[in-house]
Amino acid sequence: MRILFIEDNKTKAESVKAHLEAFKHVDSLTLKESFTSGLRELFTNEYDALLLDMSLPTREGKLSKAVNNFEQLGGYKIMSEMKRKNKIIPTILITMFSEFGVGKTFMNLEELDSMLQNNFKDSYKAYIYYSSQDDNWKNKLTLQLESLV
Amino acid sequence: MKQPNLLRDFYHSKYPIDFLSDVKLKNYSKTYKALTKLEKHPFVKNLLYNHSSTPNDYSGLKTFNRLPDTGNLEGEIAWFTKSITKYKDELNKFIALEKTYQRNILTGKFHEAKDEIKRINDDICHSYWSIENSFSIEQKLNGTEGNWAFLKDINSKTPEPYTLFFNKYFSVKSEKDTTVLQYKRELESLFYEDISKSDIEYIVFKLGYFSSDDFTEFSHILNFDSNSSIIDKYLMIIDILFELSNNNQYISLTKEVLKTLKNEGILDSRIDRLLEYNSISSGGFIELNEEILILFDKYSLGDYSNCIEYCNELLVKFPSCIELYEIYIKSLIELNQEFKKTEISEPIDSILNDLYNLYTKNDAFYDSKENLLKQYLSFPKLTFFKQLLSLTIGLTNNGQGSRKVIRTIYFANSRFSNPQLVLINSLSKKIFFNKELLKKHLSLRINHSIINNEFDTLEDEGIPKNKLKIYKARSGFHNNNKLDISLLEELYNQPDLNINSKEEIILLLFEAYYKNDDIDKLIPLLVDSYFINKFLLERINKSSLLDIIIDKNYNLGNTTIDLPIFFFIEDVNSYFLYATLETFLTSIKVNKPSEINTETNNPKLIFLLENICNTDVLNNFYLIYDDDDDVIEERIKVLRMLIDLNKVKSDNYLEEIASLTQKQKIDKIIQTVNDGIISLNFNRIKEDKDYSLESNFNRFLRLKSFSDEFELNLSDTSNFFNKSATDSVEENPKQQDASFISFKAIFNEVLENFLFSKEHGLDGDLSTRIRHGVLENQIRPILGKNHLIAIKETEETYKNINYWQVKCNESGLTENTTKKLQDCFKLFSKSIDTAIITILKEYLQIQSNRHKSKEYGLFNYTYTDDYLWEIYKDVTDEPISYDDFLTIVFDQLKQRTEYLLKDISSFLTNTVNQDFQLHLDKLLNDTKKVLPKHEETRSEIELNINRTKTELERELYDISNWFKITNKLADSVLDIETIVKTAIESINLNNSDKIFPKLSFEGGIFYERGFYYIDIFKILIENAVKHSDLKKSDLGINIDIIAGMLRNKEGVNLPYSKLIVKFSNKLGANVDKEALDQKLKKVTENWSNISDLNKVNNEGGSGLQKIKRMLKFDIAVYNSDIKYQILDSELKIELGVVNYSQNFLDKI
Repeated sequence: MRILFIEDNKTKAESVKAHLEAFKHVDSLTLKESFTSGLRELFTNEYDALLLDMSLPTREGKLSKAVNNFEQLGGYKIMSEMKRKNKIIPTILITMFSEFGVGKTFMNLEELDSMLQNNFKDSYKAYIYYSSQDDNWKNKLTLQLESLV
Repeated sequence: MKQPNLLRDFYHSKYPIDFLSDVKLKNYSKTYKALTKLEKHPFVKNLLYNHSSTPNDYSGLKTFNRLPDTGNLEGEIAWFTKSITKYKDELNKFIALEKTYQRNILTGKFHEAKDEIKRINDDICHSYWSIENSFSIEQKLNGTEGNWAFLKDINSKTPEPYTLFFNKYFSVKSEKDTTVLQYKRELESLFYEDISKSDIEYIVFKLGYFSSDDFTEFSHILNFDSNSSIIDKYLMIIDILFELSNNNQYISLTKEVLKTLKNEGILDSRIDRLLEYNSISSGGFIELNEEILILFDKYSLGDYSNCIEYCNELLVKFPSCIELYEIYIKSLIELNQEFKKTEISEPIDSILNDLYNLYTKNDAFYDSKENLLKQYLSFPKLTFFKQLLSLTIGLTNNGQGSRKVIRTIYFANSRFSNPQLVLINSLSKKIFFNKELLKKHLSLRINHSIINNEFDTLEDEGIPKNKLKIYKARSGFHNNNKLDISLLEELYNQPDLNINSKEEIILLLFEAYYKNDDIDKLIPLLVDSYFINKFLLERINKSSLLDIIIDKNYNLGNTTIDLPIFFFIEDVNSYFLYATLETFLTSIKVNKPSEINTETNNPKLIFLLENICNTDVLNNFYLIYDDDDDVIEERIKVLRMLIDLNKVKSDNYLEEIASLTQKQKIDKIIQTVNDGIISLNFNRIKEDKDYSLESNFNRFLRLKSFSDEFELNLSDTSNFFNKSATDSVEENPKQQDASFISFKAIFNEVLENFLFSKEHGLDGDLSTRIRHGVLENQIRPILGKNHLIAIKETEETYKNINYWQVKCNESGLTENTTKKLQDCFKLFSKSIDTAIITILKEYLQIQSNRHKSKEYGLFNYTYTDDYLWEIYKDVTDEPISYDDFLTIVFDQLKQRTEYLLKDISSFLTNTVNQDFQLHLDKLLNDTKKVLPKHEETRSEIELNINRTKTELERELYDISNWFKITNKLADSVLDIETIVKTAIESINLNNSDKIFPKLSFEGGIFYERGFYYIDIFKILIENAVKHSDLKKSDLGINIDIIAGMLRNKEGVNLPYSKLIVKFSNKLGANVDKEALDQKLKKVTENWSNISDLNKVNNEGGSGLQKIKRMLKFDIAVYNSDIKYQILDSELKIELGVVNYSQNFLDKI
């Protein structure tokens, strides 16, 4: 299984990567850190699964922090683009956030899940809540990936 | 329970409250009848008609206990109605006085209005109505101070908590400076208090009727208000009946209650309007005013000048008739006239002016909307102002975020019957016109025709042609949406249609196209209308259209430039703009905006290029542009196209090009500067005659030769004092060799010079380029940007973070919770500051054989004897020169430095990162414990902490890249403007609180070692930030630069460049100017003296000394001087630099 992981947090990326190294079905894991590099990779090469962070910078690079570069729902934009271009890849959301938005745009993880299921039913599979303080996410991720094998 | 026995049963009841609650469980008419019997009982009588019904003063408000809420609306409304109908005379008197009061408000007679309130209080009773109106009158008469004085006075008289609660909000909303949005937020903050949903509904119904989405708890609202005064209760039941009128479920109940009020003898136009609204008046329209009908007739015939005159006349007579205001404005618009005052009163003209702005959709649109809503907020219980709310919302809102019924309050509060009521809903259509009046008045016949879609009889009435067509078009909308699209399109395309009619046609066309799912016509309609006047789209709810287009994957029958423009109008994020822009570009077979054919000068193309093809949107073209540079280059190409297309704004486009070009340049320099900032000054050490160890080396060579022959051993004393008793090591006897000991001494001498020399030492570089606030300035701003770190108050204490203070207040969190939250941030801030200080003072430090005080220092240049023995052997294997010796030693030092830097990079990205992540995790856990679940502030804190975790990790990764050896520092050649702007930009990079110094440049040349100059300006700015005791926004930094070549008297360039930097910033009131003067005096007096540069390496050492060191040794300028001046609230520093210059560095 060729997996693309779009994630800008190195610690999280490393621990997911370390976990997946033990997963026998994973042939390769490619890491991209932003909306643009992730999409470019997605549309340039073939992947069997996409692991996606929801909050991403638009672009990588040392100056990326100089501009308003952080999108809390950057992952949503990636899924929108996949849908727009009819690119269907099983997608699992891995997020550190349990709540999104403020005020009228406020959503908890379950509500986001429901929205993603509605809007991207062909590609969206599930969400996994990642926390560096516990290991619950590991089993969930394994189960989700096994279901894709 | 049989009716005849009801009173007797009640007499015998042991539980009268339960008995009455049972009564209230019946339907309306049964409850009402039962209460009519029971009111004879003193207990019931007292409950229905107690002292709270007609309090003599404010302290009597809401002081009587209420019966429990049964939850049965019919029973509660019967109780409520019963409790007020007995007071019909008082209420009729109130209704009459209220009209006079309203008239006084509108005609600007506020003193008389105040008298009217007193009369109502004295003659009828005190009420919340009078308190609320008194606040607004006090505000009008005596400003905010008068408002607050009244608040103080009334609070001292009313201990009742509900009254105190209401007083607070009445006062706030009356204040001139309170915006409608602010007041709405104040009310919304109640949602987070520990108050039940039904209680909140009651409060919002009383205080913020306009702001709620919907009401459902009518039984509770009535019950809660049942111990209010009869005035408050009467107004409450009218409002409730209006609410119920809009719900099919309650129509028959509404009719029953209205009939009761009417039959009991309450005389109020509001009751009549509600009867009309519900089509239950037996004689059709109850109170059509013929004078006003004549005005409508004139308007229908297009006699607009006459209308204006007649309106003036009628407004004096009926100032609370808002329909007159509308006709006045519409007539002005039909005549294409500017706004004209009526001079009747200031309030009337002010309202008219704001309405004119809304109708004509001029630039004051939003301000006028706010003004009108604020007018309503001052007098929300008065009929005219309810109509004003309704009209304002109707003219400005697309239905989202406001209650639809608000639009129809207009009719329920009209002074006279409004014939247009027939157009409102299916129920009101049933109301009929009096035949005689219908025959007499054209305006009635028009409404009759519209509702029946019969226009034959109107053809010869003399109605202007276009007007008649608009009536016909309107008719389609009111007859099951049978809209005549071709008629609407014909009207839409008429060039002479006024903006008011144009808007109506656009709204109708939108409905028609939307119903037909004709997106290809909808989008151009909206975009074209936007280009006519952006406010034309205010009343159209377009969001569902966006969803439809996205759902269709942007695949429309006909993709045009309108698609991205429509998405821009809807203010979507950059991704959706990209998606639509890319769809459009694909449709015209190009990949980039710069490839668009610009032969035709099209305003939409200019709009697209200017507003949509910006760097934010272009950044999303993931397959087209590789990096930031590509995106900026494309934007520059687009701007060049715009210069050709839109010459009027060419200066703006050129300015943006210049700014992008400079930004690109500065970004590159910052990248280069930050990619390795450790320089090894071996060449300078070699060249420095003062530190030459050649004679020592020659002595060593002689010793070596002697020792080889005679085996001279010596005791090594170099580490004598540093060795502890336990440090017993087996020493290699060879290491006692005199020549080895001599070698070690020279080696250590070179090492110490490399590390600690005040001119070239690594420690000085670390201090100047890393420890001097730089690290702190990288990390703290990321936390500050996300509002996680507090500012220090004293060495040990921290200030509250204002951002969360405001958020907590807005969310209505208690003071205690807010304090606990602030404590979490203070604790976190302390832990972060301690961590940063530890990194700087303990870890990013040097230790060596001679300097052992920094035992955690990561720059560990401690060499063991064994290691040195190996070097010694290399050095002594073959005869070498002093230069060779230095080369070997420098190679060793370089090797060690590279090794250490790798370790330090890893320390930052691993150990430090983990440490900070743990601090952030702790903060997240701590704040979660303090704040309730699903609370908005809590959610935002979580978002900010998680974002910070990633940003901090990336920042530490970037910082770790500083720890590389670089030789770029010496090679950089930069112009002075770039130098200054790069310094500012690199300080602003991470800061949300940015600085914007005022800059001026006179002349300009290139400077060698430009990167050091960047550091000099950074130090000057950071000094100002750190020592001025002011917020960045108040710093007022000025940087004036005079740069160029030195010239002789004849004006011929000399081989020297000059640079004069005049730097000034404001000083806070608390700055100790005497101490500052002493400090600066010392630095400036010793400017040419380098003996004090040892202190440069110390943290806390003067920034100016660091500048001196850089000028003297890193840049090696010919000469420099410094002056300063401390004024009352300003510090001025003037730095002069003269340097050697070569021909190639001449003027740009």
